[in-house]
Amino acid sequence: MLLRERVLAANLLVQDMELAARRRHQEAMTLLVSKQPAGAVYLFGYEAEMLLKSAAYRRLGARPNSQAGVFFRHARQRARDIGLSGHSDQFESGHGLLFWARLVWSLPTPAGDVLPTDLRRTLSRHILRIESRWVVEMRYSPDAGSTDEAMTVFRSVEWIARNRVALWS
Amino acid sequence: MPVHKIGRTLMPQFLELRSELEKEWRHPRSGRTAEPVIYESDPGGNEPIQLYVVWRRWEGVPPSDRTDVILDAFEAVRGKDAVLRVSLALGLTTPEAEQLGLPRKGAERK
Repeated sequence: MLLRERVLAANLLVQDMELAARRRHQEAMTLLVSKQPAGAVYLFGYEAEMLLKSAAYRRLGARPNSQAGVFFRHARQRARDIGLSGHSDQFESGHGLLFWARLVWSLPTPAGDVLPTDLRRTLSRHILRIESRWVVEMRYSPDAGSTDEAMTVFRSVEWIARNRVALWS
Repeated sequence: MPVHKIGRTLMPQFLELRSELEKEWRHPRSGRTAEPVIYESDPGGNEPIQLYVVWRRWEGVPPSDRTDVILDAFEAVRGKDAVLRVSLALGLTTPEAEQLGLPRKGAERK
């Protein structure tokens, strides 16, 4: 089976996104140190997306071996239920970082805990830093980006990665 | 009408695996050939915990059930708060562990 078939055939679990996020991080770091900042930003952005999605799914009760597709649909439904559908333009076909961040700070955990205000503020700041430099459509852009931009995105993605347990517990 | 709550419980055929794994976690055996081999990466604080269990007895057990066995055994040993921090719990046979390139650096054998 070739790569495309393997990817499409896989029954994606939440912890697969954890592994994929780590792999994208390593690839992005390789691009960053070889002075290819746009490629690094592109991959760091996907890493951020997967970390936020995982956090949202965990707040909805997912375990590491829960099916990601089931929780993706569940998350969209919950977003509608709590009135986040007004921000559907931020959904960006499922890639919108602000959409997933809003979901993370709007949903209580299964134990009923809400995201502390200071954590929410810091998360918001990091999401804005990434969102102002990353967009899925950059795959069509010849813009090479800058090392400063890539470093800013790197630092914010690192913050999300280090604090992801606090985002879901 | 009576309400029946359906909990997430391990299937009976996996209870023995869970019990053996829990025993190993509590009283690790030494020796290069002893299995299961548990890699527990816990950076401390509130950072994510990653668990890898290499065991030939995973043969024939679906990946999702392997994770359930690991999470249940880990919760029994470390408690509910710790299991909430687990971001990854992979059960692997030796060939699968080699294919994944199991991260030995930074992971601690228990």
